[in-house]
Amino acid sequence: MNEDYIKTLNTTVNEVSVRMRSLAKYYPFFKIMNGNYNKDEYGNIDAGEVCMGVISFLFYEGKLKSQHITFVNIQDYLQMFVEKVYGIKLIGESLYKFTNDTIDIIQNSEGKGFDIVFPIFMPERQNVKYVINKSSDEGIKEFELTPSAIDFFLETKEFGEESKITISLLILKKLIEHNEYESALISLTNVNAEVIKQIARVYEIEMALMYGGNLGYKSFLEYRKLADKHQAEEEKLFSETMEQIRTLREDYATKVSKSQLGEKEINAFRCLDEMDKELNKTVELHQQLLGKLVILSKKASEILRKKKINLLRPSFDFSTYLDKLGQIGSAKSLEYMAMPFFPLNIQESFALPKINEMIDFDDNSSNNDDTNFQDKENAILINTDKFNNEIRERVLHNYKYIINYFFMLLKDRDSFIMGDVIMDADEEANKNIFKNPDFIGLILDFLRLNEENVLSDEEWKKEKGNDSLEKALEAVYMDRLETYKIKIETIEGSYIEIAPGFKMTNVIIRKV
Amino acid sequence: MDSNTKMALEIFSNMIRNVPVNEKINKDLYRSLLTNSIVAAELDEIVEMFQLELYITETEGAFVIAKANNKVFGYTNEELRSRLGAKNNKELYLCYFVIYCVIATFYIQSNYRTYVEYITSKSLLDRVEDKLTALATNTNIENVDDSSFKDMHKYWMNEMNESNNRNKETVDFNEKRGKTRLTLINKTLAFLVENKYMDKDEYTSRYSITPKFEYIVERFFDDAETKTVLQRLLDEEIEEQRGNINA
Repeated sequence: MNEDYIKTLNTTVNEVSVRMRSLAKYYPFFKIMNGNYNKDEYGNIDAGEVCMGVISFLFYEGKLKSQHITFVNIQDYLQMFVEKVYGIKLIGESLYKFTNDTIDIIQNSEGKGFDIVFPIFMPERQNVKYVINKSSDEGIKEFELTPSAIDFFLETKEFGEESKITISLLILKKLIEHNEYESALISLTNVNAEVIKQIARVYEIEMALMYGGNLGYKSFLEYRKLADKHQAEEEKLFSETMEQIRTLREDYATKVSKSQLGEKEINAFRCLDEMDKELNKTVELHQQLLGKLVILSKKASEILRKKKINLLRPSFDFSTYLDKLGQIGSAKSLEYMAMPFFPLNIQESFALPKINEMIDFDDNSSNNDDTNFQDKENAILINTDKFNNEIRERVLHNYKYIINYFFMLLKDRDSFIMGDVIMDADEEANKNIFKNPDFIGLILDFLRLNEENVLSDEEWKKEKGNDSLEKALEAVYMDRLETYKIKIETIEGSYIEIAPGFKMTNVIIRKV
Repeated sequence: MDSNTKMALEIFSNMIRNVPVNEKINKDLYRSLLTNSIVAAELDEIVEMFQLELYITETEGAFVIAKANNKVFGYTNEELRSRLGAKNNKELYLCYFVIYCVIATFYIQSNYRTYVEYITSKSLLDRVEDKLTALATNTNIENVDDSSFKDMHKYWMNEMNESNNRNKETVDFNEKRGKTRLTLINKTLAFLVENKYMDKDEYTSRYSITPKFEYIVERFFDDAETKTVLQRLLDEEIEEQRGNINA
């Protein structure tokens, strides 16, 4: 349960039933709208439109002129209305039938009217009628509007949208002048609601301007015209009303010190206080509205400029294109349309270390930490070291394994010839040592190491990079704690075939 | 390299790596793109060389898109399938069709929106099915190709269930597993969400389009070149069919 909502909840519950009741007067109209004439005869004629016509007639000719309206009057009027609006000329029997049908639809099932009920907020069934019958002194049947119908009729043509704020403010001023503070507070809420509605309308107009074609532009122009007209007036009224409330409040404030206030005056003072707060809110909202209008005007010229550019260019119609695709029965060209929605496809096969360097390089790193973090998160990072490391590990492991094997062979002799050992080796040794791809590498590395030792140039050795072999030797020497080291020499003119068709020079391994 | 070229290249390098260049991130670069006409012109040239299209919007900042058959940043068929999670070419074309249906749900024409505010997996599924059925039944062309509407429709109706769950009341409309129509729809929607073309409200599972989506539709489809290419593609297809018939 959210405690903040309690006040609003109470207001809602108190108000909803009144709001529902005031909806009742519209209800018959929407029922009538769904009422149908005989389709064959007047299929194009809309019952709602005709109903509005009849109510207008009964109001202007009947109520305003205090005339009695009979069936024949309505019939005459409907004949003219239908001809003007729908271009259909009704005469004789069909005119009579049409009038009769119309009145039946408006009065609904033998004049019963329309029942409306809301289970909680308006449980008592309310019957709403628009037209009732009366009989004249001569016994002729007459038709008359009900108060609900008049109410409905007046509500459907209200004051112009943009003048509503002005009117609400004028009403507010009047209410304050007549010391009707409670009502004034409620009417102030209406002013607020009006301004909020106008703000929402600015967005609507903008959308219409962008997507609504000519109609949208027209509605924008109308709105602008009215808004321009009312702006100054509204601002003046706002400041006047605020001034009025301030003065009244001050009056009350001085009275407090002079004498005791009655309950009515305390209430008035409270109302004025709240009104002051509310009105401040309204003025803020109104400023917001004006700001939005200025932005809208600016945007409008931009939108229109773009529209002019595109005027001669036909826009792309999605359903027409699909129809065309249907004709050829193939979805091939959809690929072209979907492609812009795909992110760029970056092949990760360029010079990878270079790309990493480029990505990591950032000269703004010191002043822009957040950005960098985001940059790096989104960037594609490619790990290139991992692969090399794995190779290094493998080589080191194999070298150690092979060197250990050599030491084992040297246990009870000073040297051995590789060719002889291979000839006598069992299957496992063959597989693990001599067919090991790193075996040849080890021999070559070893020979090179010997040469380098002859040169005895430390720097040169490092550059050549025998580190795998040296690391392996070091590790094995450390492990085995032998008193000797090993050395390798080639035997000229002697070869070993380590794989079919593949020979290497025979070598001899010695203790040193 | 002068500083303007460097700046243009820096913007380009960010854009192709999907790093935003807008008012919030890379603000300096974005500003220089808007205010410095030399940077803008050079960037235009670079972008053109890579056959990309540069778009600048108020909300998204600057970004690039690649059109079909882009030599540098384009996709192979297999890569496209893996992007959309499609198992074969028919599913790939169905995904394209779903994307097209999303566009056509929100737009009547490239400059004319519908009143639709959001879609759900279910509403999209129904729309795709309706349109696909209409396209498959109205066409007389009998081309046996993964991209033909007849084949796509056959695959959709016969080889895919609507959902993994046969009980209609307990269907999970967010399902993303198995060979089902809902999965295909959801994967495609997820693809659009992932690339920031749509927003998904996790609470209600409603999908709505983002300003980036609007911008692409309004710009890409309004582009004279797009229309020319699409017309050419249509003509080629018609030509091909005529050739088949004559043969």
